Amino acid sequence: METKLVKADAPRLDQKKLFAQEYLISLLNEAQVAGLLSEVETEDIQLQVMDVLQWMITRYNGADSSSIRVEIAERLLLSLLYCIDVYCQTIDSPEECVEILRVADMKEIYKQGQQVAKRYLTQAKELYVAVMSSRLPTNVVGYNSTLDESIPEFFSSYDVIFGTHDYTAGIDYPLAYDDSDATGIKYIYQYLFKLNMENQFCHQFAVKDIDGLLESYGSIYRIDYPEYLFNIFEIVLNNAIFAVMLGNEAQNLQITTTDFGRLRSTLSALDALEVAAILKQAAARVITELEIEDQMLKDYIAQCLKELLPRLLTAIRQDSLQNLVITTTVLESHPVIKFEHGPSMDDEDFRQMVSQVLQCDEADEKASLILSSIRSMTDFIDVLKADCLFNEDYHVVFGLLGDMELSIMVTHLFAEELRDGKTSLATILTKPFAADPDWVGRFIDFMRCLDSSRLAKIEGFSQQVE
Amino acid sequence: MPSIIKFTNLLSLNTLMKKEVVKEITDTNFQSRRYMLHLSEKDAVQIIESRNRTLNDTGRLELNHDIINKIIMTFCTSPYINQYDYTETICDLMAVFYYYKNETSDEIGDDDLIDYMKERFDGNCYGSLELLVNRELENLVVEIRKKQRWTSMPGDGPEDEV
Repeated sequence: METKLVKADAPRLDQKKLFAQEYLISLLNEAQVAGLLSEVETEDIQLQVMDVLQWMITRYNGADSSSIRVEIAERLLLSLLYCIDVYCQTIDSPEECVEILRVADMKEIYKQGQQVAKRYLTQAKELYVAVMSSRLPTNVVGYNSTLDESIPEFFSSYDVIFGTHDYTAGIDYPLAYDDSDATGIKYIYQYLFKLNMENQFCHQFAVKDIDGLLESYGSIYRIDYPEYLFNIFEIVLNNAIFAVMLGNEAQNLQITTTDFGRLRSTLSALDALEVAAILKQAAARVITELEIEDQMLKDYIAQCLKELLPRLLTAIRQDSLQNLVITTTVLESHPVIKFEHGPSMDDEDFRQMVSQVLQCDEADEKASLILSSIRSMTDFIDVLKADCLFNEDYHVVFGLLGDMELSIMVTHLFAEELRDGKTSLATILTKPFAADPDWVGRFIDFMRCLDSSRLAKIEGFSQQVE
Repeated sequence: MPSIIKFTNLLSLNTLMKKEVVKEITDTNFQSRRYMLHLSEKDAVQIIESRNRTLNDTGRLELNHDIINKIIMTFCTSPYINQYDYTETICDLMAVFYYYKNETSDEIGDDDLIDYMKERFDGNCYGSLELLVNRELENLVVEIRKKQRWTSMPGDGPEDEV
């Protein structure tokens, strides 16, 4: 189709008023407002569209019927307009598109749009094959059902001729960043394109690390994560970025509670611009370390960062960073230390253990050592009294205790308050306590961080403790 | 968002440009006059308006006016139509036609339905629209739905002729 050149001084269309989902309609509206199309020309285009609709109705009915149910006609019209929209969106500028519409045969434009849609369909099917071969070995139900059921069902029911605009696919699994403007086959195409990129990115990490990360995610949010709808790539990307912020390698998704404490301290001291800068630098380092060359993936990560930044700033402001940074140690509900009945540790063994604990720099190391040595509550409290733990160490060590063990500690410390049964543990914890000895204050601080349902459970156990 | 595109309300497209269609309808008089049947311009307008109303009532869209002329040319030869009720009968036949296009789920083509209606109207309905509708066309619907059920089941179904 020949077009005349758009003159340099020709009026420009307001692109903010051009809507991807009704492109032709918004384009004709704006073209008339801008004086690029006369009313007669616009009317002519509309009449041509109606002629194409009549032609489609004849094709649909097999030339047997001149009339059609209006619901079917509406569907055919939407399909027709979608094809025209898809074609128009391949034209470099809206002004140039208007020039084409002015002189071209709308049936030709529709047919060209059909070809574009068919190409998208072919490419979408190829992408699906790629996604299936790059699919993640995960037990997330939404992810698997989308790949195994929703997408195949879409392909089997999609009518590229009379339902080009349709994209009802029952897709449950959310992308990290979805294009809400895309419809029809273009939506499915972009969905699969991005899902493939997400899969490729996640393959840079060990399967067990991703599994561990998702387990921790489920633990933090107290959900059975395989049943929930969330984006795996987003969680992996975010933790990789936070790992790099901590000076760790991007592929090390494990962020300990101690690391989290450091990160929280660092970020809360920065203003919004500084946080944005550090986030951007960390993302760039992730891209470098993982040797990501694909520009589309880099752009996708950049888009995800735009979504992450406001969430990060809010989390810092509200001191809820623990909901964004997935820590992969400790806050488990099942016990790691189990108090056992029996004799306490030998004095010499105890002194040796305390000495070794004092030589450790990291809270996790101290916790591991205590974990491997302590069996009774008496020994545990002796460790707390031994002044070998400082600051974040207490939080990590208390985190090793299961609900039963915590209830034993609670009973030990609050026997008087709990005896009459009239005051709940949650209420007791709201009262001020003397900070001496230090470990008691630290324990109370730890308990105050637990959610109400866990406190209730611990209190329930404490009523059974003799 | 204001839209200048008129075809967003498809049923409004059922309104034909009357001037040229009136002429096409009155042109049928060349054929129908041998049967002593004649449509004036006023009759033609009445037929067009009836057709538009029927399409809207039945929720159908038609972007041309082929059916008007087909029904006129087919039924003007009927011995049971006279000048007295010519216009009214054409309007009624059009209404019946569009109604049964819906009832038969568009399984039967325009020409086949018009031919079926004409054959029964002139035949065992003896010009009675009531018999055509309540007996013949209802039977047609039953046959078509039976055929649809058979074709939707696995295996061969009966090959009834409609």
